[in-house]
Amino acid sequence: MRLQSKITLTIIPMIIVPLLLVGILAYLELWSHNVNYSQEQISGYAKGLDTEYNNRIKIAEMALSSLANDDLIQDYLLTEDPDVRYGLMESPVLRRLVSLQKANPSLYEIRLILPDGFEELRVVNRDLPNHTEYEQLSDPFIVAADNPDPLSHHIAVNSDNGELALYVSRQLWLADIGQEGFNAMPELRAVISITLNIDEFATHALPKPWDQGRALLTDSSGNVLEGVGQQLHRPDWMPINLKPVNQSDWEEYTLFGALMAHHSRQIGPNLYLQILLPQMLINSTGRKVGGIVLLMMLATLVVVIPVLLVLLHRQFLSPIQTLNLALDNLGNMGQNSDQVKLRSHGDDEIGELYSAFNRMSQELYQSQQRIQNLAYIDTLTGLPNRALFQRNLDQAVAQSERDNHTLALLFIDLDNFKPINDNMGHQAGDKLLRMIAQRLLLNLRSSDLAGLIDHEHPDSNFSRLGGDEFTVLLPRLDAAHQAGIVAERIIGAVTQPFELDDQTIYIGASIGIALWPEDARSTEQLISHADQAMYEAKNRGKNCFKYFSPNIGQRSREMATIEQRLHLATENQAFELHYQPILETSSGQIRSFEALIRWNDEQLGRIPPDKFIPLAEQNGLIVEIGQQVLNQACEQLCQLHQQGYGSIKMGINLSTRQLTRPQFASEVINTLDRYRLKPSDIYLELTETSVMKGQKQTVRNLSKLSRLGIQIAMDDFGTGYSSLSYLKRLPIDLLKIDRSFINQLENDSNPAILSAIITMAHAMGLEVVAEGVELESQMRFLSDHNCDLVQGYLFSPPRPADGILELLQAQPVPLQQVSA
Amino acid sequence: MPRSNPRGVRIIAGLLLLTLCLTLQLGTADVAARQLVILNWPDYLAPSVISRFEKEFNAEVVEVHFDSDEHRTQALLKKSKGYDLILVSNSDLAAYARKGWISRYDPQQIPNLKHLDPKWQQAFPSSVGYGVPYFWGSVGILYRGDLVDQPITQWRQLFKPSANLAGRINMIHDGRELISIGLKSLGYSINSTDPAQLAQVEQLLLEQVPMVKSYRYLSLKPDSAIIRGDIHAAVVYNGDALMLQRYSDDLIYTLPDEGSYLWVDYFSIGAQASNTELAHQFINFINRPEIAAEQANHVHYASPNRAALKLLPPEYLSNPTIFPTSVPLENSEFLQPISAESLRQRNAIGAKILP
Repeated sequence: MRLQSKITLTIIPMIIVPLLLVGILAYLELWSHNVNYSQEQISGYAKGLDTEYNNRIKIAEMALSSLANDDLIQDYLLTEDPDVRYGLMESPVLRRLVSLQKANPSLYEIRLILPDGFEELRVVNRDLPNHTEYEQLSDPFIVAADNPDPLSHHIAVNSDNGELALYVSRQLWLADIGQEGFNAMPELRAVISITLNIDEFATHALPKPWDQGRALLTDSSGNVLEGVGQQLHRPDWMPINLKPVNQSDWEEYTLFGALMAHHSRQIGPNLYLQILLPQMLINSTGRKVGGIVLLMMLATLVVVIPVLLVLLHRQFLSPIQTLNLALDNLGNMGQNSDQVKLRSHGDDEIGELYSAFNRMSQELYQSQQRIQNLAYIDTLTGLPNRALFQRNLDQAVAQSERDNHTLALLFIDLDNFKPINDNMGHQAGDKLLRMIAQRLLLNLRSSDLAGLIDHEHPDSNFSRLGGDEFTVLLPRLDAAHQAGIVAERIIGAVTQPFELDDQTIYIGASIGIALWPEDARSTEQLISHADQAMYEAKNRGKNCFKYFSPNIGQRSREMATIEQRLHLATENQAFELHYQPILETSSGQIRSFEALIRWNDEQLGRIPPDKFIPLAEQNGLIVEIGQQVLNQACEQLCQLHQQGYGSIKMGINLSTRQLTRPQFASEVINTLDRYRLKPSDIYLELTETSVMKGQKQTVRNLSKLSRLGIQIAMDDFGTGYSSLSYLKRLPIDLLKIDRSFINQLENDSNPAILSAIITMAHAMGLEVVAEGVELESQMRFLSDHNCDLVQGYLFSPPRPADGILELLQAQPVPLQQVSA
Repeated sequence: MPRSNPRGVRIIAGLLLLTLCLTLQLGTADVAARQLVILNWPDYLAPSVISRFEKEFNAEVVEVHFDSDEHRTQALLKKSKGYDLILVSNSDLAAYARKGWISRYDPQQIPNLKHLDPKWQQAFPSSVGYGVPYFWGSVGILYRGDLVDQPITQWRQLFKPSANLAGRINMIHDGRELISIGLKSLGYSINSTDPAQLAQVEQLLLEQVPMVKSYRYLSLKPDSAIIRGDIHAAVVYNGDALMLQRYSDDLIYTLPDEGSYLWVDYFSIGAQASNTELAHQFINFINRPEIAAEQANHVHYASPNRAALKLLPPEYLSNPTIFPTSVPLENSEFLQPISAESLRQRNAIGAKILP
């Protein structure tokens, strides 16, 4: 999930849930508060009506009291003479009643009712017809007249107008002292009755906002007291048996399916004010207020969340995304990308993060640059390495294609660098490489090569591919021979002696040149061809340069085929051995044979050893081949011994790589044992260079072999270092002088050198073998100069195994006897 | 039952009490001077006559005033003691006698009774012997001839006034008299006991209420509302009309042809009089022809004293306001004793109409 969604999903509930809780609590609280408030208001309203009701009764009672104590009224009632009573007194009495009523207009009807129920006097302040003059049957009168308490009040329907009315009455008991004396007993003379309007109590719609509710007057059994005809106006509002509830309570009452809140208040004996309020109304006010709260809450949410999200996005997510993007860019930072940088973002934590990122980015950029340098620069010499070379080459080729220039690639391989490295140590080798690089660079920068070398970036023309291999790119040649000029200059520079660790070192360089577009169709091919040309130069005696030619290419392809067949041949043990005898100069007897490898491939035909042995040396097959040779040679020698030529020895050629194997000595011993040969039955030939390259393991192996009694021969002596000091240090028994010395015996200096070598070898206790003896004159010279042994076509070419027995059999017997 | 009424009812009531107190104090303090306490309308005795009586009889006349029949009755209901003479209208005479507030006079002590037209004494059989006639009169309409659209000749014009007149009417503050003229305007007898007729009157009076500016006795002073023009027409006693006409020639008095309410005022001896002899002497005194004539000139009402009439000038005797012409007079009536039931109805009507 994305951070935005996460934060949204985290924050929104964090806002919504508490806000919702608060909202709901507030809603409930407000709702209940509102319900309570409504109920309190209604209760207060009921209380107010109660007070009002009782106040009216009080007012009426006060009025009644004043009327009852009025002399005029008392006099009036005691006056029986109708002329006096009605002619004189009634009018003042009426005036009295009217003035009282004017003071209290709510007393809308004031009546004097005689004990017999006759309505004697009646004052009304509203248009109210008088339907009944005789009240003896009327409910209020009966109640008032029969009441033991002279003061009474009663609610009844006023028969004059059908309205519900409150009748407050007072019995007036008077003794007629004037007529009957002071002992007269009071008699009930009249009931003074005041009618008050309470219709408003019964029909009163509740004040707003509860005007949907109703106040009803009932008796204690719940009968609704209603004026005549009033219920017709509100048929829905005639609940039956609305039993009063406890004054402090609110109860539920279902009226025609609607839920009502029901409240009662007793306002008189057997008189209750009951209030029915639709529950919905109470709830709705509460709900309305609560709803507003909820609405406000929702509005807050609606406003707050987007604002919060926008703020979040702007303040946090966006910077984080930017950071993320920057990190992606950092991840994708290629070779040529610029440093990824973020604009600063305030001084908050994210700003710090940005700064940290920028620092990291910068460091990363710098490391990247360093890594790039490492990747493209050869750390030893500071020259472009193989990778950069490849890139430069690609660019140069592309440029050449555009400009139609000839491009030359020079492949340089140092000659004789390896021995120096081996003998003087890697540090010295490295130092030498640096010196070479410096010298070449200096030469390449010289002005006479200006047209050939990119002056702005001379380094880009000169690379070290590794080891002792260098390349030079010449991107703009006018003619092919210009590459040769540069090559010569390089060879000239390299052949100048180097002073290294107080020694003077001489090395050379072999250079192969391939041209674009003449020699190749791809950069790979160009490299390959330059490489081939370089090998060609090496093969041509080193320290020279060679242009690539299709022949070289051809040879290279041949070599590839040969290598392929070589593997097969090794696998099939397809090599055979030819043997060339070595004779004692003095007796002419065959002393030993040199086993020489021959390969007659089914497809390629005869392949000379100098063609495939270096290959085998390179790819390591030589070890296996060497073992095969050892086996085959030993087997052949074993046969010879069994055939009676037990003194014959076998010389077997070794490769350097065989000698570097720690187990080589024991392998040789094992082989000898297998063919029941003695160590002295064979000797091992190795070349000067293989000894020169010799590592400690080589020396150890040689010493071991020597200790076991196996003789060691130094082959091709005189072609390499020809250092006699090696001969002293190593366990050499036999010295084989290279055929070149023998061939050139005619030259002036050679006989002396040859003689000197023989003498010196003898001085060192070594036997000397001369190779390549082809002429009798040569034989004579060697014999004259006490060369111990000879070998060559003069005596016999190398022969297959089945041919050597003849040679032995053709020898003079004495030699056999001597050998036997 | 006429008279001038310069002040309001309340002031009169205050005076009444004050005078009464003074009377009682004087009565106890000055034993030598005889005192005659008279319950009377204000301005209904000529001051010259009173001083002459006081001089001649060595007595002090104390007047306690009322300004309506009802007011008088109320005063008596509160306290009936101490009045030597009480002026009573014909309609209350019998009831006062029954109530015991007045007593029979002794004709022997009033020789001047011989001057009186006997018809006034015999007019109301139930009260014969209780009162000596003082004046008689009627109720008519006084209006501003210059302000009304057309002459007012009928009660109907007040009960159903023209738009111009509506709201500029003053009615008399007396239920009995209002009902009487109401009955007259409908063509009924003022003594009708027919509840239906009375109900019609009630309806008529109730309907008139919104168009009546005031129910009161008009001031008889020069700044009276009708002189000022606030009132265009008013129900007045005929004598009051003459009083007011002295201030304005635009005032026209009419006794409507439908007939009117006639009244007679009597002097009666208070039942609890402290000096009945002096009271008799006072009645006898004012019935001397020359005294009676002096009185008539003062109050502008018709005197029942035949001897006095002879002494009065022709302007008085031929004044149609004092002595109405035959047609209206023939249609006019005195209130006769009425049944209790009818009284109740009338009382109820009065209570409804009057403020």
